[in-house]
Amino acid sequence: MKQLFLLVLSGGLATVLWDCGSLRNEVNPAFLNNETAKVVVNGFLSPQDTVLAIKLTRSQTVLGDSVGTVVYGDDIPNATVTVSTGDRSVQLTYSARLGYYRASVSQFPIVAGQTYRLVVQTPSGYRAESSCSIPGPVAIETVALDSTADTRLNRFGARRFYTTIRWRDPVGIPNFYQLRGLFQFVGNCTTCPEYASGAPRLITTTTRFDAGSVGLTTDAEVDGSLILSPRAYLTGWRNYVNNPDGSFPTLFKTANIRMDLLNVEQTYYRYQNAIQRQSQTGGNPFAEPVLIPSNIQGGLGCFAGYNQSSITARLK
Amino acid sequence: MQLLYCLLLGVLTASGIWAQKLPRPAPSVVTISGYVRETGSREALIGVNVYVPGTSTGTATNTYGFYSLTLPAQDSTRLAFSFVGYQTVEQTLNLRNSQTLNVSLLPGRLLSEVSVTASRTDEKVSESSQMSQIAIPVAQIRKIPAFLGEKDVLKVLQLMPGVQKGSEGQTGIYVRGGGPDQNLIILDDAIVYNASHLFGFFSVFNGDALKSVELTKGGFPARYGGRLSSVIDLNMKDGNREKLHGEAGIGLIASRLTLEGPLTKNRKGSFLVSGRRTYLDVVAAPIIRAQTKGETTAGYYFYDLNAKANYDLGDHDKIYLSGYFGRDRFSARNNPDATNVALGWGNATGTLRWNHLFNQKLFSNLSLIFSNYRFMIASDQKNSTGTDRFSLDYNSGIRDWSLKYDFDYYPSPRHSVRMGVQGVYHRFTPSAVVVQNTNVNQYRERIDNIDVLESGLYAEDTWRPLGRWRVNGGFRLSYFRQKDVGYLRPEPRVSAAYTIRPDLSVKASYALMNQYVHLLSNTGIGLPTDLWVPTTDRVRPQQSQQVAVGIAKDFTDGSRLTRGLALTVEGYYKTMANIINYREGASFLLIGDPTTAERVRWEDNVTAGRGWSYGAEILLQKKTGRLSGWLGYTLSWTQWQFAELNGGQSFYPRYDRRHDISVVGIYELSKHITLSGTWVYGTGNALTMPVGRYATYQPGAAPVDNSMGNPLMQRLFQETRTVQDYGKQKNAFRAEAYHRMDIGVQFHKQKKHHERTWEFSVYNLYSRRNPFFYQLESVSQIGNQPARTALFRYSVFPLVPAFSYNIKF
Repeated sequence: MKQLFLLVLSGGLATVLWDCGSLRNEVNPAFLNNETAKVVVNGFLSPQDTVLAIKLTRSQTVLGDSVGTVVYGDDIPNATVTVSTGDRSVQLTYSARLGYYRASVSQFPIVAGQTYRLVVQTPSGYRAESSCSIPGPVAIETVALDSTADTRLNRFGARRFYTTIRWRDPVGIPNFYQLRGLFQFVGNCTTCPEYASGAPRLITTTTRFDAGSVGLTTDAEVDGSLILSPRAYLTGWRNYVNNPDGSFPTLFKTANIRMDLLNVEQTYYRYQNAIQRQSQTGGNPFAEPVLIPSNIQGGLGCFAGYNQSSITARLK
Repeated sequence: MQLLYCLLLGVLTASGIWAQKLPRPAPSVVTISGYVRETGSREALIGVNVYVPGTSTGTATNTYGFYSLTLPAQDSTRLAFSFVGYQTVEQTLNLRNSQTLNVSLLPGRLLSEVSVTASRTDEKVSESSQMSQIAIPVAQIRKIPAFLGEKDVLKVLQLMPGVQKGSEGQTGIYVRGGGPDQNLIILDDAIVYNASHLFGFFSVFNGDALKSVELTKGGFPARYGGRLSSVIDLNMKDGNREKLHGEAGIGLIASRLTLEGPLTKNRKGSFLVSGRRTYLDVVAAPIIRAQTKGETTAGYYFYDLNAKANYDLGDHDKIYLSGYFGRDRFSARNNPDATNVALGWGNATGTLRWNHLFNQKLFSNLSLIFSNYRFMIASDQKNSTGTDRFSLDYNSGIRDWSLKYDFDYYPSPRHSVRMGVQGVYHRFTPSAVVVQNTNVNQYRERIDNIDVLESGLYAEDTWRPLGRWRVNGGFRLSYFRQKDVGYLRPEPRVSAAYTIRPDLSVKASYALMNQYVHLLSNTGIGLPTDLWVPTTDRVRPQQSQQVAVGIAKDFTDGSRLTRGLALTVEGYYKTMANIINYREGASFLLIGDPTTAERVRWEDNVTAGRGWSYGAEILLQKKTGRLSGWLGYTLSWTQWQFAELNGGQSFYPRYDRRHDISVVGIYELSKHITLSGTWVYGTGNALTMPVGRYATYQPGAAPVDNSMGNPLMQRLFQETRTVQDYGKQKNAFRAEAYHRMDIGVQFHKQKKHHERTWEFSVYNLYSRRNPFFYQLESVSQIGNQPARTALFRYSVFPLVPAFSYNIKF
C-alpha cells in the first residue's frame, strides 16, 4: 500500500517535470485553408462620374503576409478590364500614376436604369466577372442644421452640431442609400497655428456619423415616405475656434455644408456595411466574425452602381 | 389560464375526496404506498424501482421518495424494492387492504454504485419506455478523475454520448446540436442560469451536496418545458435524519465542508449545509505583488454554499427549504494610478416546497421558487483627493419568481399520471451602464427592466397497455407574455417502447419544445458576459421538434465477458426554429455602447435563423463487477442557416462535431483502492479564420466645387480600409481533433472515527496540446526579411496532476 502510494507520488512528480513544453505552438501552415491570392475589384459606376474607374488589386494570403502591416493594395497593372452594356463596350486602361483603370465617360456614358457588365482577365489566367445596374436619381428636398448635447465619454455637456437631409423615397422598390457630407468653414480662432501666416482660410472636413455607422441607410419599413437621414456631425472645427462652447453663429464666420445622397445598389450597401462592421469589431475576439460579401465571380470586392444627388447650403 | 388551473385543481381535489369518502365494498384492488429511504441516514431515495417480481407490474419512487402501487387484492404477494447501489429488499404482504409501507434500503458499497444507469432506476434499459435519459449516481462522479481534483457533475455528463463539451476544460454542455442556452438546468426545481465558476472551468454544483443528477436529451416528459435540447435535473440531499455527519476535503485550489444531521430531537426533520471556496486569491496575491513590486494587487476566488432543511409536519405533509448561493469575483488594483477593476457574477436560488399526500394515490407538491443571476463590471480611478476621476458600472442579470404545483396520481397499475401547472415571473436586466467623469457629469444608459410571464400546464401518463408496450404520452400547454406580445403554444410529447424479447426492446419518441428565453453568447463557453434576454415582439420563441428511435439490449446472461453489459443505440433528428445569434460584428460589448448617441436595442444586435441536427449514439455500459464503466460514441451533424449570416447559406456552427468518443473505466482493485481512467476524442471545432487580407475602397469622392475644394478628396480610391477575407464559408476552418486521457487512484481507509480518502489524479496524461483557440501572429525573421504571419495554437492545460484529501465522519 505504502509502496503504491509512493509510486503514484513519484510518478506524478516525474510527469510534471517531463511536461514543461510551451502552450503556444505554431501550426503547420498547410493546416490552414490553402487559399491563393485573389483578384479584388472595386468599381462603382454613376451617371455623375467624370471618369469610368476600376481599382484592381490582389489580395494577400494570410500566411504570405504580415498581419502587422497595412494592406495598401497590390495593384494588378496588366489585366484586361472591359465594361460593356448592350452591344457597346469599352476597355479601360491602367494609369500607373493614379493606380487604377480608367476610361472617359464621354466615350461610354453611364445611364440610370442600364445594366453594365465587367470582365477582368489577367495574363496569369484569372478571370473575374460581375455586373451592376444604375439606380435612378433621388432628389434631396431639405437640409437642416441642429445640435445635441455630447454624450461621449470625454465631452460631457458640449454641443455637437449636425446636419440632416430629407428626401422622398421612390415607392414600391427597395432602396439603399449612402450619405456623405463636406463641411467647409472659416473659424474665429485667433491663436491657432494655421492663422499665424496670415488671414483665416477655408478648412474642409468630412462629416461623420454616429458610432457604428458610415451613413448607410435603407427604406426598410419606410418605403415611399419622406426619409430623414442619419445625423451627419460636423467635425474637425474645435481647434479652430476660440470658445468651443459658443453658439453656432459666434463660432464660424463662414460655414457651408455639402451633402451627397447616393442611391446605391443592394450589393454596394451590403459590401460597405460589412466593411464597416468588420472594422468596428476592432479585433474583439468575442465579436462575431464579419464576412465581406462579394458580387465578383472569381474574385473579391464589389462592382456596383449608384446615382448621386447633392445639396449645398450656407449654415447659420 | 386561471380557468384551466381551477379545473385541474377541482378534478384532483374531487378525486381525492371521492377516494376517501365513498363507502367501500370489499376491494378488488388495493393500494400500497409509502416512502423509500436510505437505512441509516433516512435520506429519501429517488427512482427506486418498486415491482412485483416476475411480472411487468411496478413503479418508481418520485423526487421525494414516494411510491404508490395499486394491485389486485390477494392473500399474499411479494414486493421488491431495488435501487442502484443498494441491497434489494423483498417483502411479502397480505394484500387484502390498502396499506402504507415505508421501506429502508441498505447501501451496498460494492454492489453497483460504480455503474451508470441508462434510466432512473436499475431496471433494465430494455424495460423502460423512456429513452435518451441518463442518470449518474453521485457516488460514481466521485470516482471519475477530475481536473485539479474538483469533481464536476457537468463534466461527467460531457462523457455521455449525445453530450459534447465546448472548449478545453469548459463545463458548457451541447446536447444533440443544441447550444448551452438550450439546457434547462434545475437545482431543486430552481433554474440555474449560469452554471459556471472560473469562466467555465468548473461548474457551480458541489457534488457533496447533491443527491441525484439526471440528464434528458430527447423524448422529454411533458412536465419539463422551456428549453429545446436537454433537461439537467439535480436534487440536493435532504440531510441525515439520524445523527450528525460531515464530509470535508482539501484540494489544490479549493476546500469543502459539508455538515448534515437531524433538525430536531424527534428526528422529523434534517438539515444540510455545504460550502466550498477556492484559495486562488490567497496563493496568487503575494506572487502578483512581488512581480509588480507592490504596484498591483489582484485576486480571484469563487465560493458556493448549499443549504437545505426539511421537516415532516405529519404523515401527509412535509416541507422543504433549500437554497444555493455562489459568487465569482475577480478584482485588481493598480496603486500608481489608483485604478480599481472588479468583475463579479453569481447565482442565488431558493426553493420552498410543500408535499401533501391527499390519499394513497394522489401526491402533490407545491413549490415557491426564486432564482437570480447577476453579472457586474466595476472600474474606477481616483483623484489625489480620493474622489472619483472616472467610474464605470455595468450590470446585467435575470431574476425569477416561480410558483409550481405538481400532482402524481396512480389510479391503477397500468397508469401513472403526472400533471401540474407552473408560472414564472422573469425580470430581465439586459444591461445598465453608469459612467461618471471628473466634471461630475453622469452618463446613464439603462435598458429598462423587462418583466415577462412564462407559464405551463401539463399532463402526462405512463401507460402500460399490454405486456409488451410501455407508453409515456403527454401534453404541455405553454404560455408567454411580455407587454402586448403573447404566445400560446401546444407541446405534444410521446415516447414508447415495445419489448421484442425480455432483454431487448425498440423505442421511439417525439417531442415538441418551445423556449422563451434566449442567451446571447459569442463564445458558447459560459462566460459571465453571456446575456439572457426574453422573447419580444421582434424575437420569436425558439422551437424544436425531435424524433428519436433506438434499441435497448441487456446482456443478462451469456459469457462472463458480456454479462452485466447494457447496450443502447439511438438515432435522432432534430429541427430548431427561431434560434438566435449575434449579427456579424456584434458582441455584448457593443450593446449599450456608451459612446453611441442613439439608444441601441439589444434586438438590433441579434438575428434569427434555423438549425437542424441528426446523428447516432451508441452507449455500451458495464454495470456490475469490479471493472465497470462505459463506452460512448456519437456520430452527428449540425447545421445552422441564418438569412443574415454567411450570406444566407447554411453552415456548421462552432460545436458541430462529427465524431465524439468517450471511454470511462473504474476498477475496484481492492476494498481500499479504486483506479479510474477516462479517454475522450472529439472532432475539432468549426471556426472562422482569416485566409487573406485585402484593401477596399469607397466610391471616388464626387467632384467638389472649387470654392470647397480639398485636393485630397478629388482623387479616386484614396480612402482605403483593410479587411479580412474569411473565405467563402463561415466556420470553414476545422480545429485539430481533441483527445485526452485522465487517470486517478483513490486510497480509502476506515479510521476509528472517520473514513479518509487520498486521491491522486492526472489530467491530460499524455499532455496533448489541445487547441483552446488559434491566432494569427506576426513572426520576425532573420536578416532583412520581412516579418511573416504564422498560425499559432494556444492550449490551456498540459498534463495537470492533482491530489486531494477527503474525510467522512
